[in-house]
Amino acid sequence: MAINSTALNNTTSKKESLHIKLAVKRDHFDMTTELNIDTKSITALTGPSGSGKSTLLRYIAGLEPTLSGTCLFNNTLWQSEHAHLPTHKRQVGIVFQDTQLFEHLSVIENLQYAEKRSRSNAIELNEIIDAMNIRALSNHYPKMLSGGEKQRVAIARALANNPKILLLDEPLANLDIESKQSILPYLEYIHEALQLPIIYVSHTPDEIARIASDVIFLKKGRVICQGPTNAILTRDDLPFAHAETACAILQGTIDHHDDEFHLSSIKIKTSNAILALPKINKNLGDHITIKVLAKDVSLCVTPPENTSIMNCIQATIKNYTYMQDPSRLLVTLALKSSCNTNTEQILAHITKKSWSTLNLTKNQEVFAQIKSIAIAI
Amino acid sequence: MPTIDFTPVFLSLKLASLTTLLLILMCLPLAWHITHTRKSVKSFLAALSTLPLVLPPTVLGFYLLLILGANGPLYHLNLPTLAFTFPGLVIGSMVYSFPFAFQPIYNAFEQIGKGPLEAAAVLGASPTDRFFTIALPLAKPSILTAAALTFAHTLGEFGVILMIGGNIPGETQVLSVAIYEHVEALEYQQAFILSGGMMLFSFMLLFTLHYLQQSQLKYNTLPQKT
Repeated sequence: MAINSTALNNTTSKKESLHIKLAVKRDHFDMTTELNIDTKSITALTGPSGSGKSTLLRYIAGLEPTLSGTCLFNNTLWQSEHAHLPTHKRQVGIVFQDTQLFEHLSVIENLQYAEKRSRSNAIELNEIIDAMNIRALSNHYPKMLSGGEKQRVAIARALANNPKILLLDEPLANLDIESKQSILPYLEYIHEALQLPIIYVSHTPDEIARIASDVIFLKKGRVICQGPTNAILTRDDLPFAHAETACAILQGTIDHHDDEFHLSSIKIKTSNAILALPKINKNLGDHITIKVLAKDVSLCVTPPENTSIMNCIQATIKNYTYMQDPSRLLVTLALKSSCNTNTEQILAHITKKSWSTLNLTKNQEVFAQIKSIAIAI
Repeated sequence: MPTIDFTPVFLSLKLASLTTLLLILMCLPLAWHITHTRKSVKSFLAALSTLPLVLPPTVLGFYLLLILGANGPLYHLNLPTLAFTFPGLVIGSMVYSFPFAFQPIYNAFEQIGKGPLEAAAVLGASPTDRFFTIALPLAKPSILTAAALTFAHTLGEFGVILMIGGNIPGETQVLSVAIYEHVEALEYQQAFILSGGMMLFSFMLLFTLHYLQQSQLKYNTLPQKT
């Protein structure tokens, strides 16, 4: 999985943005949206079904020429009331949920179709084939491929076209868990190695937590909220925080390695908190993203003693909300900040009984014990 | 062994080939266009295109005779009248066999749907590019079917030909009309040889086309993975 990325960085490293203003009225669908998408990062587009996620993606690609709105990419006007740049001139890449591979062409011919119509040759076809691990499938026809293989070919085909932005419309929705797990690393790799802006439609918090750095939440065609992934995932008025798999995503750097006990310490950004993880094969100072599940967090009013749980950080109770399960509460915690700005939040799912036994209240300072920590990326 | 004039056979083959070629060339852009128009227009055009299927050949032949004949609009426009000529036969056959060429192609384009074409557009293919590199190859089996049906249908045509072409040897006397002539004259042996030949030929043709279609379907089957 090695693509010569230095040559690609020059073309895409400058600040890119996508400005979209949409006003759509259809039966039972009223979409008025104004969006600024920072295209340096992977942005997840999420929300319940029928919220307009796919429509928005299709609009960006130019596949909805009749929708009224304005679409501006890097100061180039793509669509407005009076103008519409046809899809084939936009240099976007889409990976559809149902892949839409050309069934009359073999895998390699599908890729060559895209390469032939590409307007730059920043990425070599051979490198993409190796990166997506599809060389053995070259002469197969799409009907012979499994779901996961099809998605890898579809991603490769989009890349072979050298798009300026990659749009993914629930690329993993039709796949089983195993195939999903096998595709996600490829997407992360694309973003890192090719510096390609990605907009990713998904309603699975796990996928979002793993790959997105920004999240846009849509509902009935409106942007409900937009922000960094952790801020959205830990908002208690959105469904993510209430899910069984609710989690917080924290950014940090490797502070030191402990060879004796085989541990690594992570310093969490914008806070003084230090968390210990089983040893990670990275250098000191390297950036790392970790995932803290809400059900792995417990609260103590005093610093805990005699516990096997190593990770305990100071936090303030910001809010609590009722959950669907009447025995439990969702508690939002703000980590103690090192600079008084942008405090990171984590979540805790605790029982109502503990809440009342411990006499917890809003704005109270507590100690959050974290049972286990997973590395998200 | 009775003497048989084989001119009607060649005339029939010439008529069927020419009709098929012209109809396919005409139906490809037409069906493509109708596939991408509004629904209301679609139903109207689809109904119109299937009309020759339900009308008796004599009705079609009668109208064609009025249009192409000596006192028809062609005459008043100072154009050569085409009744009882070979070009007249070609026009008549094209009207008569139109649904057989149009329907399979139209259905194929409808079935392809927007998906693959949108995918090609995203990859930078212009509308013309999409037609030739996506729509045509995907519709290929149906285009072959359309050609086979049109050819066979034109070969077996009788009523329309008799109405607008008459029975001029070497000009408009095609196989089916010649067989009818032989039967009328009680020359059963000649009629038998021509009929048998036509049946054999038609079967061979359809067999070849179906065979070709089967081998076209390679990407629709699941060969062994290597």
